[in-house]
Amino acid sequence: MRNSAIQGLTIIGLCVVAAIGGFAVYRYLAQPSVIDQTACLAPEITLNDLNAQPRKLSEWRGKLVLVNFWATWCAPCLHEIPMLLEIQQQYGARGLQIVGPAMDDMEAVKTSAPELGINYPVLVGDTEIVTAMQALGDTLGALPYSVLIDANGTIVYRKHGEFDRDALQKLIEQHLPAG
Amino acid sequence: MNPRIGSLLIVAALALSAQPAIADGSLLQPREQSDRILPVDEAFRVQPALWQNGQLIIGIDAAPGCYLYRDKFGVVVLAPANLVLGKSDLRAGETHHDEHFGEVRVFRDRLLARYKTPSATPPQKVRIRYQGCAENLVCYPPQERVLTVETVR
Repeated sequence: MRNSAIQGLTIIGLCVVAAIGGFAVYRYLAQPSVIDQTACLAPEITLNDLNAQPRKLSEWRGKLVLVNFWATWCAPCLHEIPMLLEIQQQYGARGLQIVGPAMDDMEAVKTSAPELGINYPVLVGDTEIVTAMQALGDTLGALPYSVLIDANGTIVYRKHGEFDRDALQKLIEQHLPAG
Repeated sequence: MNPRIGSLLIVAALALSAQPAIADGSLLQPREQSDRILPVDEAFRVQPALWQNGQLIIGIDAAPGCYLYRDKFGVVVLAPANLVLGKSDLRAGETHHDEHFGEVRVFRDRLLARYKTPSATPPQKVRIRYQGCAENLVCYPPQERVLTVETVR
């Protein structure tokens, strides 16, 4: 009887370990493709907005800035934007500012941005965007490309590809400005 | 407890613990597709432009998980000036349903196009343009490359 109880507990223990192990493997395989987490100051970048007015990245210093490079021809970018709109809505009052530089022609972006309901500043350019991406650490030339810059202007995260919502929320919570 | 039943329970627990990963496909997809985003020149390898048997041959190999848009591909002769290419034998490609762009034609392994010229004059230099994506990960901006044509006898 006692042996059966020990055997039963052992099996339950093994099941728990197996479940935890399986979940850990799943989390590892499902994690977003992060490039790195380099802490360095973001360079000054100037790009035109949809009114052809030059805007500097430092304009949003003091906020947590998520620079999300996108394009109207980039399906993963268009897929990610609705989630970013909700994130901006959710965290805007707590100091998050998403900025969306588009690698595209002005007319295409002027049409698409309102259709997508983008509620954050959209910047636009062609080679200027490529240069800006490279200045912010891009080595692949692929979109979407996102860079998270904290309130002090330090790059705290860079990533190609779409964000997982939970991972992005966790990241934002970690780096939101104090107070 | 019967040891066989214990073993079965362990197997069941392992299967259950792996279920979320299987359900979202992360265990079933190639690692390089989901975990590593390639630079554009590794995602799409442009082959040397060849002139063979009176035909210009242009080829681009797409890495696993990457595809090229058919309608974004094009070739222009830079030299000799005024040489115009005839129609290519580019295949139709396969249909790809895109959530935003609808049905598009793509090439997943290799894009291969052969062109004839009106007087069988070989082009010396061409400019190609192409664009593609890594499935469900990223898209690459339109690319242009200038190629010197090699004659193959």
